[in-house]
Amino acid sequence: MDNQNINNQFTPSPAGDIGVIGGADGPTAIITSSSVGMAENLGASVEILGQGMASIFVVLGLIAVVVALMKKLDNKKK
Amino acid sequence: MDFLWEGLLAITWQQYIMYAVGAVLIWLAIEKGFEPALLMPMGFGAILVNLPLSGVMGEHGIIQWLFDVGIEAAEAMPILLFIGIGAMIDFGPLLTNPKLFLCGAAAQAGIFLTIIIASLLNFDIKDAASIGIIGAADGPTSILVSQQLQSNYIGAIAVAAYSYMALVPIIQPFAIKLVTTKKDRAMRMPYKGGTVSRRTRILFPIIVTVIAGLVAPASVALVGFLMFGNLIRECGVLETLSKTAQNELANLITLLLGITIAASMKADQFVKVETLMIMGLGLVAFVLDSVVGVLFVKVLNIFTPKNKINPMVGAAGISAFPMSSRVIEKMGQEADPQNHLLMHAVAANVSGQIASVVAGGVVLQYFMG
Repeated sequence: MDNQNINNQFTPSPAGDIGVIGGADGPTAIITSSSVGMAENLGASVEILGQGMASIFVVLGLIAVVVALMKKLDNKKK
Repeated sequence: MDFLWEGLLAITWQQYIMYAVGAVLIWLAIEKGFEPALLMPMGFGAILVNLPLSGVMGEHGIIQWLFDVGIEAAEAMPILLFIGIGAMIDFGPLLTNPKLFLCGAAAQAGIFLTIIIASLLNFDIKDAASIGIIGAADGPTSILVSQQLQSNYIGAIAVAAYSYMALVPIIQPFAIKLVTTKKDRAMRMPYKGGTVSRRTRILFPIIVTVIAGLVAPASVALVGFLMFGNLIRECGVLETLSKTAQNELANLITLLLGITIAASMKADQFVKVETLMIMGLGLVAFVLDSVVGVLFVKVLNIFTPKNKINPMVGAAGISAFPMSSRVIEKMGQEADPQNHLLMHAVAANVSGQIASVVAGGVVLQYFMG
């Protein structure tokens, strides 16, 4: 992914430009070229789903394990 | 006398629409009690920035300045607000039942499913990701992520995020009933209170920050400031700072945040078909969060038959606190008047507050590489 732009001025990707929803009633050319961008975006979003949910479960799961261990330590002391 | 008319004639039809949008937001805030601290200033701001040649925008405009410094430069406003939010959260109920951490994680799924739907609707991937984050049910995170991804729809995303947070008591019962039976909702859960040691409460925010920071470095700003606020609360020696964070700091930022966000509600950016689509997608995100939360608990229960969780508690894993907990408690009592789920729902709900900022971080992480 292009990451230089994150904190700079955003220049919408050509896909986004073409994919203007209002353009759906325009010439076929617009629809055809936008579906290429859409497939790319769809691929990326599925990747985000996988990576994202995995990371969230890893983070929250690890926290849960550590908290459970700390609880055990607390109970032992008593 | 021409100068008297110049302003009036310069108003575009889009600007008239924005005055109506502003009026609706003010009405919702005052008459309906929808997140008034945010939606009232946003509504007023929407009118203010859309006056022709508005003096609050442009190079020397005050709202432009607030936006540039408070949001665009380093997302200072949403991040500083997290110190206050962190100081307000009592993680006690969650620390006594760590299993409920998983509910917070599962209920973030609506974010990612909505990103997929938004990209199917032809939104650019960064815009789609920003729209999905509405499903974090967390206003400051939505603002921060959409700003960092330079989305063109920050204004619409903020309006959707805060409106649906206010609508949780309507959206969640609908979504939960789609995937539960009355018997599910009536399921009782014993509450073993138990005390949490001071050491655990103090170590908790530090551990969360380190784990989140190592797995998803981009979440450090969000998680770190939330946990900084919580450490101030729990350390026990900073009573006055904790109170200041919860009250003065949070109020001062909230006071300015709404009107500052209005900078992204200029007519030419806001009066678009996409704005309506974003409002629709935001609703979808909230429904999917709740549905996946419930289904996740149902699956989890198959593996832990001795220690079952009421499936509705899964839906409380969204970040909207305390609205979601209250919804679950109320629905539990509707199904069985003696059923008390509040403390379990609160635990899942505060877990959702951590999970939503982690979610914001991991989405940013994807774009950082």
